[in-house]
Amino acid sequence: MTRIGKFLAAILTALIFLGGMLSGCAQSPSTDALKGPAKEAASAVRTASLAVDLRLQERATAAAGTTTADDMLKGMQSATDELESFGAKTQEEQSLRDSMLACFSTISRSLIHARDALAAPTSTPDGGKNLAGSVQLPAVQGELRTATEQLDELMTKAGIQ
Amino acid sequence: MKRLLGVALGILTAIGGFVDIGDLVTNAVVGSRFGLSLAWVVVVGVVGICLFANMSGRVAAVSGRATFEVIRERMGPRAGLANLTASFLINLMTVTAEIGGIALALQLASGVSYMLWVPFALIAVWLVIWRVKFSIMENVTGLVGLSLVVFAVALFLLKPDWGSLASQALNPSIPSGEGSGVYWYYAIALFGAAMTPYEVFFFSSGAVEERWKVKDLVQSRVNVLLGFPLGGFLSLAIAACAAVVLLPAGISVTTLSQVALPVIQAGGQLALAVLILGVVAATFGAALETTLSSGYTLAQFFGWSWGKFRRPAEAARFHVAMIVVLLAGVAVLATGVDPILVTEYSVVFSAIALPLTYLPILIVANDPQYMGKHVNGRAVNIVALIYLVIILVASVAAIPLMIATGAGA
Amino acid sequence: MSKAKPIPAQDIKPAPRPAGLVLDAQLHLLDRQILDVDGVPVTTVDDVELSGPAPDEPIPEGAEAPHITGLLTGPVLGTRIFGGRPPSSRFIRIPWDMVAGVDTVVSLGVRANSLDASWVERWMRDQVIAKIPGGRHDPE
Repeated sequence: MTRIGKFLAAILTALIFLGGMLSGCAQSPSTDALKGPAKEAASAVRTASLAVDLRLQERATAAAGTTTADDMLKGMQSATDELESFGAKTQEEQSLRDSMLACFSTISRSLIHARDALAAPTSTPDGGKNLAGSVQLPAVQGELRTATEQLDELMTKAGIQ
Repeated sequence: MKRLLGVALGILTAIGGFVDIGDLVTNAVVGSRFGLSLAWVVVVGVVGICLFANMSGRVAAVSGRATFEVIRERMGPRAGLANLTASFLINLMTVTAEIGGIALALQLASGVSYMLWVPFALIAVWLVIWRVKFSIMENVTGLVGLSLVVFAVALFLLKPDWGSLASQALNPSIPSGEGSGVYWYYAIALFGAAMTPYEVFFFSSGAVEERWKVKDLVQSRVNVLLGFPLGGFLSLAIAACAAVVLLPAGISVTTLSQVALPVIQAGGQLALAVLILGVVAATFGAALETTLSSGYTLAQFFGWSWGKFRRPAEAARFHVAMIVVLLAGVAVLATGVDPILVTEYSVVFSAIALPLTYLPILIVANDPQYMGKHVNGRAVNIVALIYLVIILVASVAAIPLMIATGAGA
Repeated sequence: MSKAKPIPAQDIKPAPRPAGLVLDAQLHLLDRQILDVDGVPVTTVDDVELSGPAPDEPIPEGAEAPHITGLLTGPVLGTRIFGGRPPSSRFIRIPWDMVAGVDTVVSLGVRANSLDASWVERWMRDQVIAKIPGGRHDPE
């Protein structure tokens, strides 16, 4: 290898080593591993709430609402997968992880209900008729809010927020 | 009057063409997590891309040669190949992200899964590259892309606290929920989103396509100096909308649907429709530009015949290369990888590869054999050197930060 | 005959330049774009063919100076980066008498289609592009 080549290879190795060290330092308490999925779930459930609000105000279309709900469901799936791969070391961590998983599945369930509610029509041309959407949406909103509170409590308990 | 229309058209297409899926997503993510405390990066990036585009346009207009031809001739095959490989791979990533962006926007409009829209997007992009004239392609996508100004309109409709927005922007500070590593990582990502390398290859090859001469330089300078900053202003509007609606709600952006929520809140279904139109046009235009860029870089490096001004039969390898690139991008999307994730990586890798594309242009813009008396002036060179340092710092810091922060998680 | 007076320094004109162009093969020829008579790119200059004895051969008495007989193009990407040279049979030759001018590009006096060097382009055109509808039309 030429001298410049060796020099560049050395720099690259040093950078990767540095990065590895920095990330190693950041990983100290193990509840930090819960942080990622928990934040993702928190963001997802709040997004769904906002989408349902906007649909209630008839500002959002059904297509936009269902797309949002679908996207959030995917996000919940990846958060759940990440949480399941988290290796709990103590009894406390185990119970924390399990309650968080239970919370996640509640959220996913309410997201599925939200998706159905968002897809349903909220008004007809002749107006005033109580259609599926305008009944389901407030109910789903309540469900989402409860799930959000549950998650927030868990996150405070885990010291994440 | 015709002159004035031409100038206006140039500026408007520059504004509409500035924002692509990378800007859209990165600005929204940053706005939802950091508020406007990274706004200064957008300003730095816009000044940089103006400088960069100006130099490369001047090189093309004066010497009649496009970027990669000059890189090959001045820097030899070793440096040229390193540059080509890096630029090509990043171009490929960006093509994938843009086609994904078109499909995601169509999903937002219809509710039909984005995977089903990808083949349509592919065929549409290819057909335009195959048959549509360069100037028509540029003008249409640029003008329709102006619909993205709906973000600025939405921002006004949301009646934000302007004072607090301004203080976030002018006194940047890292919000309490985020670490400084993540802050600087996103600074680099935002920088890479603004200073997209493909823009430069496209700009200089476009100058040759449209047969610019020295007298066209003034027009191009006006387009760049007025159009790009206004485009940067649009980027800031995207970030501000996210900062006003999503940040207080505790929503961090990971999908295109979340980017649309502030606009929906501000202007309802009409604003959403305009937004989707704008996103489709901007990502479609960017998909065209990046695909053409990949064709340009390969053809110019290897000495093939190239150009949209030639019929495909006279630039066979150029067109075959672009078809392969499009198919590769679609193949990546078919694996089900999230296009937003691809976008987020593509902007960071763009920042990493910037020195490779920037330095050769800087060298050539100072070479009297190619530029005659149009070499860089002293002032331009001083600014250019400052930017060289910024680009090198960003490029070197990107990988350690990516590893340390887990790509911004 | 009177003695010639020395010419004052400022009256001495510079020596006439020799006819023709002085080129550095590596700087001005290598890697340059070759354009045909219509300005269509053909390929790049990958190597230069010189007449005269091969390297390491003894030079016969009265041999003429080597001159360029052709430009070569070939699969040199790997060898330029890692070293070495492909065998001569792998190169495609463009005879020097086809070259019309040397500038920032090398211009030929013939059409690209008549050269061996453009065979890949012609192959792609005939086998791939021509099979897709609309390939032979100008963009609109």
